[in-house]
Amino acid sequence: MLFGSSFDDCLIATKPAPLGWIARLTTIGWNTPGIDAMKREAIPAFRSTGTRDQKRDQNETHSSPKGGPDLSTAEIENETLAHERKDPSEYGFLHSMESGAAVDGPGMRFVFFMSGCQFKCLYCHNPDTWKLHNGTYIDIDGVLKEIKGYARFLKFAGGVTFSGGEPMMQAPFVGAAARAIKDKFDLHIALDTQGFLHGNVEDDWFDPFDLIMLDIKHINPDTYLKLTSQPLQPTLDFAQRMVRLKKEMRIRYVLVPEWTDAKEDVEKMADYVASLGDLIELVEVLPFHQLGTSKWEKLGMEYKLKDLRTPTPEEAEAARDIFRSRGLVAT
Amino acid sequence: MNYMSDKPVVADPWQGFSDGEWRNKIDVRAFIQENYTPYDGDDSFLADATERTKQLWEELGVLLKKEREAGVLDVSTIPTSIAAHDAGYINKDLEVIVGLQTDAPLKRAIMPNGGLRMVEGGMEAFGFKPDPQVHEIWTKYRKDHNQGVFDVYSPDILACRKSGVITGLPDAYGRGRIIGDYRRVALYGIDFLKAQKLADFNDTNDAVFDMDTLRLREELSEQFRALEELREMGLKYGVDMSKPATNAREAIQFTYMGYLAAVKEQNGAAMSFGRTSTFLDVYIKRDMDAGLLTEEQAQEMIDDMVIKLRIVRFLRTPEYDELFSGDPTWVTESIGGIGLDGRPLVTKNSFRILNTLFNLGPAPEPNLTVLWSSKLPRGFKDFCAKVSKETSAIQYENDDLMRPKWGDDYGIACCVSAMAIGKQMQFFGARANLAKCMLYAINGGVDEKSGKKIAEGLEPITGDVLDFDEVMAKYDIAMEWLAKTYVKALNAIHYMHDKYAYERIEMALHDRDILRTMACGIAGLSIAADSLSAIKHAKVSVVRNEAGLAVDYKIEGDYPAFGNNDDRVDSIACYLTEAFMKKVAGQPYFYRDAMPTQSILTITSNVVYGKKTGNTPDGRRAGEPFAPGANPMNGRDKKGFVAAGASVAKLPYDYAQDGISWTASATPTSMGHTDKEQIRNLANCLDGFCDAGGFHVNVNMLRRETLEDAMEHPEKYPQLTVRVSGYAVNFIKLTREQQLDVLSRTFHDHM
Repeated sequence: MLFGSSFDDCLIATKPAPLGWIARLTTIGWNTPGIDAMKREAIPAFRSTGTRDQKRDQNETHSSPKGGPDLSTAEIENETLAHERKDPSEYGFLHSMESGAAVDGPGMRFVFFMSGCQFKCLYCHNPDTWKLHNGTYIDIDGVLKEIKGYARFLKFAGGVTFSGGEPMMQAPFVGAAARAIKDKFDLHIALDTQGFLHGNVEDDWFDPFDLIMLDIKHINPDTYLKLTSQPLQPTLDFAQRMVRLKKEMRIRYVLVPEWTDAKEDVEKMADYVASLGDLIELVEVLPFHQLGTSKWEKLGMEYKLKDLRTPTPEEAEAARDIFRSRGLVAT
Repeated sequence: MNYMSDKPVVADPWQGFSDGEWRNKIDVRAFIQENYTPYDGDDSFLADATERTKQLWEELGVLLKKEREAGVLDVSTIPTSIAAHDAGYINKDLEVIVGLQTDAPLKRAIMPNGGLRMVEGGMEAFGFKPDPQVHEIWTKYRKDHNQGVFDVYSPDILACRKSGVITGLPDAYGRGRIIGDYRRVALYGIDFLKAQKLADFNDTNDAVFDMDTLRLREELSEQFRALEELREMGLKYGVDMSKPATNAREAIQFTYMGYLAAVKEQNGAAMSFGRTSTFLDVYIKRDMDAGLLTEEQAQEMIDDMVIKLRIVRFLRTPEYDELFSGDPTWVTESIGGIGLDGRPLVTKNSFRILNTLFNLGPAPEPNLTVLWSSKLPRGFKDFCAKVSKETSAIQYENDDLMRPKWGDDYGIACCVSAMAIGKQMQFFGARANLAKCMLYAINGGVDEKSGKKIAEGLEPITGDVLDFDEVMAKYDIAMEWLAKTYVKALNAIHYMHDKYAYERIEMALHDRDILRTMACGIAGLSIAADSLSAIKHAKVSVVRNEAGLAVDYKIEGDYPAFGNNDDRVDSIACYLTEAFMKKVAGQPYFYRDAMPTQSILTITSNVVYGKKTGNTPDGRRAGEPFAPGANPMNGRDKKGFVAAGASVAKLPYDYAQDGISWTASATPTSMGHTDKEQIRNLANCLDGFCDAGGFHVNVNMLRRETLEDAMEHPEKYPQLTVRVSGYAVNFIKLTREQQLDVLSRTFHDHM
């Protein structure tokens, strides 16, 4: 654990309490890499003079360092506070961007991987996205600027996906960003979510999204809790809500040996997905893989599934067949 | 094989073809335009390899294995010319299309006109004894190209060559990069072509006999003789090419023989094939419509032709291999594209030639190059993407960029050099090292590795922290000096190449009056751009050695790196491209009025360039390979390959008309969950890259594990092909260093 608990992070993102987390920031200290990265992005003057650690080195090795003005810590905090007074719909924290993703929605996608997730899925392959502040600062203009260079391409080749982390942790920003992209470029926009936080947004928040990619980790509430550390019900409620809002949905199901691959569980899941009706565009059965292992190690966190095998292609195909037998399209 | 022996009785070889002007004067393009049938369907019509093809390929496989073990299978001691060797076969009874460079497959010819040193060095390196008689002839009685060049080189050129700020100059071997219009042999026959040359010759009988006219007349005489030798060469195989081809088999055979004559005569750095598939389709379709040919037979002939193109070999030295490894020959065949009238130039034969990668398995040669346009038919796009996905063996170039400049009958020479076929050639100029040039700017022209003064007229930067404006001002002077020295070298090389190693048969298959380009090139663009970006956006301090030479750089802070679609640095890369091109173009003289151009291409020489260049201000360590071609530096493109491609696509083709090379690697699974998705996404990416103005892309669809396994167990992967900056190479033939370089490049495997 680097700092904070998952629940705190969740609160920060969903409640408009802009001054809440900056207090925390200052108590955490400057050595958290994510914060440094954020500051570099946020404060141009700071960017040009290097990070604080680098500045210290510089002061030690050179008697009269050249470069920009020396910002004291207090000044940096003031600058940061100024940002915090902004509306949370105007800025967000981004883990990374990927300009050519083909497995995050239909066609080629520009993906914003938002920071922060309140789930702690045992098989997560992006545990580095869990912390909200483990990311870089971006505002709506920044988002539009990123998309601009690819808009023509994305228009015919695919679209934009908000993923994470859990993008709904930064719902005000993600909603505003999606709307801005829709208004300006009219691109296909997908939301990759587990749905847990939908209670915090109004129906019209979903207007700019053309496709909801809903990740249902398990159909059994107890196993769901064990796998994700969160309850299942909000996710199921979310699915019903999407049906009410007539949103096209793609269901993603990660096939994890010993955890999610029991035939009866998959069948139960398939029955549930089928019950959602025609709005289900596709079911993606994603075989568990071990490529996230190094990220867990890098973060110094225990990866409980590190010795788990990956499913065989035949097992994945058998699971897909179960969905197909319910009249669903599965890949 | 009745379609071979039962020659259809065609009184008129042009029967059924249009009644156009092409009948009276040489105009292959007009013939194609008036007679070809575009195909907009999918790949379902294609035929598999026949038993005969499989057997022939297997027999050859035994020899190829032996060659891999030995390096060079055999060397002929006869100094080669078009008709010097007797007929040679892999297995005479099985071959549909015949002709080898010497009298046996994979037996390499010696071509001392380009340089005796290359011949003898190559032979000795692989355990063959150079013939003393050949040595005597080419030292006592006959001068070679290599000797000619070194007779005129100046000390500054020699110093640049030695330090590696200019590398790969074709001064010891054939320059290549010339594409004869081999189709002319099939369409017109040798008698007609000779008559044309004679007429060209007689046209200048009354001209003033100045240097240019005399050279032209001598060359026309050489061309005329070369055509006669081509006929002789054919007759050794029982193929009479005096008259036009009368059927598909002859059309393929004659076209190939025109090419074969070229590779018998010239050990060129790149010996490209041209743009033949749609031309040949006209003949294939005529025979099929007449009921004389089946699809299986047509594919069999194309497969057989491709087998021949796969075993073109040249004798080269280990030093050459270090630069361009994997025994490349760049038998580039350009496929597809759109005609000036808007009709796609895709025919069924465009599919057949790509299908050889399935029928014979993947291979680096011939270098199959698809001229891409968003207007290509869907079926063809999907088939290309499918072939790429499964073989990684094709490259793509933007037809929409090239067509306005070179028309719709150009071909690619080597990797990225477009030229109107039969109407244009280039003087190949390898490349100058822009990254090292920047170090010269910082060190006042002193080489950071040897400590020797290489560039005159430069004063070193003395400050501890690099100032952007100061570096730019010095860099400008350094580039000016580099361009001047570079163009001097190229003028010398090409004057001597014309004099001592003239490409007789290739030029015989050109028009009399052609466009020549002086094809310069640059390496290290992304390093130079990133270095300047670091100097501008971060703080770069100089670390000097005892002699006061800048040998290392300390970077504080972040800087935007090329390859992330960030204009702050992409604009620097564009600026450098334009700036160096203008410095080249500003030189006072170009041999034979050549039009100066440049490429951003390294092929595998990015590894050697890296070795020869010290630490650079972008943080790259001394010796570390450059990124290939116009690629972003390894690992610095953080936003995925669409962003990387967008950065590369910004580089201005107008200032790099000899081509801009980008190599992109991705794992198949990162392109989509299903085959169909992967194919469609790849095709859409190519559309997007071309739409953004991208020029060229090598597509590698490989798994990292496959490459790692191939390094450990090369015997399991005799045909594994990867694309490296403009050409494809047999992975197991790369040096370990180069294999690691390929591996370390960004695998765009987003999970």
